[in-house]
Amino acid sequence: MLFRLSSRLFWSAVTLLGTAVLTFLLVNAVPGDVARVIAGPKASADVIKAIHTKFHLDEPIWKRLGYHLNDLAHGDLGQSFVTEQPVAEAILTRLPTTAAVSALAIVMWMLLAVPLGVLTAKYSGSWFDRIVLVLSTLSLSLPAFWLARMLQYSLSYKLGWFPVAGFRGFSHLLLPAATLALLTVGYYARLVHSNMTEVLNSPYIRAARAKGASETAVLFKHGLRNAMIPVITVLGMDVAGLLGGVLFVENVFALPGIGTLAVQSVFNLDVPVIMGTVMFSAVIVVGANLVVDVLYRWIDPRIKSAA
Amino acid sequence: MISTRDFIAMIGTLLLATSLFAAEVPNNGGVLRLARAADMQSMDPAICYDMEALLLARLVFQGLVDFDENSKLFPKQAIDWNISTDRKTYTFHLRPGVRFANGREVEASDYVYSLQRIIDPKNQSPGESFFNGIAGAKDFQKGNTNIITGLRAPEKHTLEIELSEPDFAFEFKMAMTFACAVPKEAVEAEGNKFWLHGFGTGPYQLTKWTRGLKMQFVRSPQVNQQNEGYFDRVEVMIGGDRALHAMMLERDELDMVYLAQVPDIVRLSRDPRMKEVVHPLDQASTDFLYLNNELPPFNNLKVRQAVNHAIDKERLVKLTAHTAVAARGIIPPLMLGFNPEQKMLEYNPEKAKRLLREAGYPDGLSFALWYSEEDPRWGRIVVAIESDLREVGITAQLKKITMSAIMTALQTRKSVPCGYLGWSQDYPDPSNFLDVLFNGTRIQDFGGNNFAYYDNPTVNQLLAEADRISIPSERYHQYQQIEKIILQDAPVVPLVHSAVPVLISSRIGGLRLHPVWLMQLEQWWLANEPKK
Repeated sequence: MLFRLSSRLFWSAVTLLGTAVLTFLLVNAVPGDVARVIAGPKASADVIKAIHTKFHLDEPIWKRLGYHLNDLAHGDLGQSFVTEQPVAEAILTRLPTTAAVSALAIVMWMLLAVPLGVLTAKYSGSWFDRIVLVLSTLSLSLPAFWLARMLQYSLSYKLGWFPVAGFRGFSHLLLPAATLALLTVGYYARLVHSNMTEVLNSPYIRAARAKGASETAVLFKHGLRNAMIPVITVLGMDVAGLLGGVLFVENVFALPGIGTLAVQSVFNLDVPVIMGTVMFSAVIVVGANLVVDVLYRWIDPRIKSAA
Repeated sequence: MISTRDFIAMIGTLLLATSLFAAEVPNNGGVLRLARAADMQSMDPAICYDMEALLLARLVFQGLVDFDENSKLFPKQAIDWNISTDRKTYTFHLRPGVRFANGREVEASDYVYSLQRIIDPKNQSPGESFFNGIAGAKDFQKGNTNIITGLRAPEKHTLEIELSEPDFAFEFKMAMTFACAVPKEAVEAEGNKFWLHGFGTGPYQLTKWTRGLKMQFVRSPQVNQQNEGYFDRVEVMIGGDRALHAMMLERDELDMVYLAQVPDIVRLSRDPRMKEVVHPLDQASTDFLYLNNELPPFNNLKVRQAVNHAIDKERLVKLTAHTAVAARGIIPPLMLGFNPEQKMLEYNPEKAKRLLREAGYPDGLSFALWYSEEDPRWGRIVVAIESDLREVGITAQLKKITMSAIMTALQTRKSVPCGYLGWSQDYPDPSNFLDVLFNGTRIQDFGGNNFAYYDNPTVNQLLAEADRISIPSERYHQYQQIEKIILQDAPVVPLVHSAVPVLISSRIGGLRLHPVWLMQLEQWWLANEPKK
């Protein structure tokens, strides 16, 4: 077990190192001069040169990569070229918004997906099941930015039900969270459906019915509780995956989260912030995978023995 | 005897006059809601240079002199100023009682300190070149001395500035935001980050700035001007693009959108309820196609002239939803010294073809045209240019890059054959166009602004002479002659003079167009609730 854990940790570190090197090389391949972004179009050659010196921009790329990896190894994400704000601080300032919109989205899609999954399992093969299946496929296929724009245009701009964009309070989170929820609800509805179908055919459900348990108790007490175990596991992994969808949705709704920070930094050629947001996401994804992996082996001994 | 009808008409006129007058009385209170697509790098007046940033910086920082609505200088936080007969020494008399937001009275030594910050190389101010003509500035920059001899405060309210050479444009430079007063105690206490919650002598102070998220300004306890600082707060949301900001303005979530996009301008202008929010703000600017005079094929005069004749500038105007006018020269119409009689190389495709044949390109030629879409209109304009050039046998390969990349490329000698870029005035003097963009003695291997690498010794000589002329009419005449020569040499194609399309909510009062600052947010107030 200890050996397996250290092996997982080692490969996680390799993944993070690979991400750091690859991102650095990609970002530095982009044409453009960050000194110009910082100093503006009319700055003199001397000012540009001074900025190059300040941020080591004149030095060879392998040397800069060295500085960067050294900083990362010391837990230092550096500071923004443009705002000179520490990158870690910039990420932490935005984390609550991203976390709030993600949490709200999870609550919304679970509140929708669970009843849909249970009912479609109960009435499997009915017209209701088929409609939900079509809608689920649709929800899975929609691009995040497209759905976000459509909802924003119709519900906020045309009907005025929600604020168009920005962040002044809870109401500004509703539509972005609903967008994320709509993009994911289909997948979870089907996941609950298939687990529930399997569970409902189990002998203990028949036993529960034979004991005279009410249909509600059969579905929710005996069925759902068991059907939800794999769903919760997937949800754990998806928390990391959410970051991808959040990036588009935050940008469409101009929510001040990590997604907008990432996109702004790309437009500004703000290398430390680009690197910082990518590394932050990588740590979350690698970390979540590691935790789920370890927990799973612990919860389910069959995996341990299979491995 | 007055008839009933006349009486009613008289009362009606009076009521109308009263209501108009009432509409012009500023209200105090309310919140001004603004948005920016991306965060500002700094609020330091020594650093801020682009117009969108200056709109906010000027809420907080103000200076001794300013431009009025006719580009003329007037004393703002000074009583007056005079210039010595040799035009080397400027004496400004400060208005007593002008205070920083912390309550301390501004003294001449504050201006000595503030100007020294601009000149000090360690602050990397983009305004440094405007003020390094002050006597002793170069020695100070080299580290030979720690005071600038030409910057003096002989009395509490008297500022003396001595130049090493006369500079006609110097008083204009004193109206630039670079020359605003900063509070020495705040800068020294907090280093060069004082502006994160900066205050100056302007009507607002920056109280909160969460980088990349939002800014909040509140009215300063010391409003030094009578017609400024009406809002309780100014809030700036950071994020979202301009199309999103336009939607927010329509839903009454924002009060102003800077540089609105052409589709939004067209759509809103056609909407009877919304058309009054569209304001194309005229500015002294010219968009140019820079033809690199050192690189083939543009080292050939006839090719440059052919390109000038090939492009239909009037057509470009339509593509900008009429937020620009066809270029009438290098010096834009709003600039002092503009010559309405100036002759441009006219649109004439046949002549362009003939010139190309004479230049030795009977089968046409091909080159790369670099541009950015920093201003969304530029992308539309270059497509039209490409199609016009194709008509005469020239293939322009469009190469779209970022604004920062195009600036670096254009400022690197012999790297870009042809680039598209706009230039707008820093101060209302033709030297800000002709001397900065076309003086051959200013060509550098890297970092210069002579983007066409145009070097005509006659022009260089005339520019040096113009710099010494202090009588405005003679000075403008000289620049107009220089402009004429440059237009014949065709190092650039002047394309359009573009306005800045801005959307302003109908709830805002106090709008006055300004030739240099475009808008003065510090003078706005909440006029009424928007029409639903």
